[in-house]
Order: sequence, then structure tokens, then C-alpha cells
Amino acid sequence: MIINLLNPTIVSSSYKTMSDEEAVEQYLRTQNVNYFNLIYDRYTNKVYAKCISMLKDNEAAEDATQEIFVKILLSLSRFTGKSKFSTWIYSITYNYCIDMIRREKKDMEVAVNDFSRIDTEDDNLHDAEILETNISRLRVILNHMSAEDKSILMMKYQDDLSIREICDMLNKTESAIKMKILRAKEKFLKIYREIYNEQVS
Amino acid sequence: MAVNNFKELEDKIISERGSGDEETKKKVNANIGFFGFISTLLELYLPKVGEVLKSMAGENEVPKKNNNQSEKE
Repeated sequence: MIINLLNPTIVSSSYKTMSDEEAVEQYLRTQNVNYFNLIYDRYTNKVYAKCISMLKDNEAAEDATQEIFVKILLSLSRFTGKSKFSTWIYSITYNYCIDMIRREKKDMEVAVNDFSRIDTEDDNLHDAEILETNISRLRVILNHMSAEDKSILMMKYQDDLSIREICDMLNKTESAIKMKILRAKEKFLKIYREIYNEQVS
Repeated sequence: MAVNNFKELEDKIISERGSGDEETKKKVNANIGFFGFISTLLELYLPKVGEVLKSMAGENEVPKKNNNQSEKE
């Protein structure tokens, strides 16, 4: 009630078509909650989907979604426009989930070092096999992966982020990110073979 | 078009979400309201806190008369 009194409905009907950056600018200028709700409506499902994939629990994912949007709200003035707004939001989401998993020590997996040396330059190696994995199997395999491996595959395949964008998000070099992606892919295929006792078709 | 079951999985998760979306939105809006309330309080009363601290430090011990006199000078 108080919120609505303080923030009258935006008169212009065109506000729903404004870009994310414009909505952020307008929210910071006017503090009108409708602009923030516009951003919420656009990203809530994506943020939630990432949270549930990472945290594996519906209630925890809803709580995390709420906290992530509060975090976004409090950090809006620090969004510089250097990256896409969606990339910035996903970055906050992944970091929040990884921190939460680390805090709760849910993620007992350690970095796997038993992979063969990476001697390929092919960034798309295994992509087709992984992308075509049956949805229910995909969900099971992701649930068996560490938060870091899972998040990097989601950034690449779900969010369509480029290597450069992932580098910026994780503050790592390009070769480090390529290495991480390849290791995550190998880990994915290894888990697939272990669970389903077959090669990925 | 190439198959991408990561995106399909994301869509499936979203379709399974139910009413959590609206409930979470209400909670986020409650947080926005709370932060707005706190910032309004700070805006209104923070300057006064400064004045109170000044007066506690003894600034108001200076007689008004003297102040006026010094202003005239």
C-alpha cells in the first residue's frame, strides 16, 4: 500500500518496451518501483531457473531469487553498462549461488585433476553430444556436477555467453576459461557414462 | 536449428515454477518499501542527529547574545 502511494503507476504505456538500461536509469532517477518491477518481471524466471539448477531445492531457489533481486536493487547504481545488463544479472546470480553452496558446504566435490592434458583448440568439442542429452538425463547429470562446472556450462549453453563475457564475469584469462569449459564438458561426459553406463549418443 | 536441451531444460523448470514468482515479487517489493522507509528516515533525521551531537558537545553553551554581537562586528 505504502509502496503504491509512494510510487504512482507509470502513466506512459510505452514503459514496458523500454530497454533494461533505460529502466535502470529511470528507477535510479525516480525511485519508482514500477521500473524495478519491469526488470523483475523480465528476469525472475531466468534467475529462478539458475537458482534451482544450482541449489537443487525449490524453497531455497525462491529464497535465493528474492535475495538476488534485493542484491540487484542495492547494486543498481554500480551497473556501469560495461557488459549487457542480462550478463550482469546472471553474474550476480551465479556468484550468489556458488557462495551459498560453499557456505553451506553442500558442495563436497573437489576439483578433478584426473583429466588428460588439454591438447585441443576446438572450443566446440563435445558440444553436440552435450546439447542433445535428453532433458531428464541432463537434469540428473547437472545435479551431480560441482557448482563451478555446472555454472560454466550453463553460462555457455543456456545463456549463450561468449568466452570473453565469461572471462569478464569470472575475472579470469581466456585460456583459463577455455580450460575450465573443457574440463566441465569432460566431467559432464564422465558422469553421463558412470550413471547411464553408455556413451552419449 | 540445432538442438539445445539446456534451453529446453530451463523452459521446463520455468513452467514448473507455479505461483512462487508472485510471492517472491511481493517479498522483493516489501524489501524495496523497507529500504525506502529507512532512507526517508535517514534523510529526515540524519541532519538533526548532527545537530544533537553538536549541542551535546556543548556548542549551545555559547550565549546567543555574544553570537549576535560577533555577527554585528
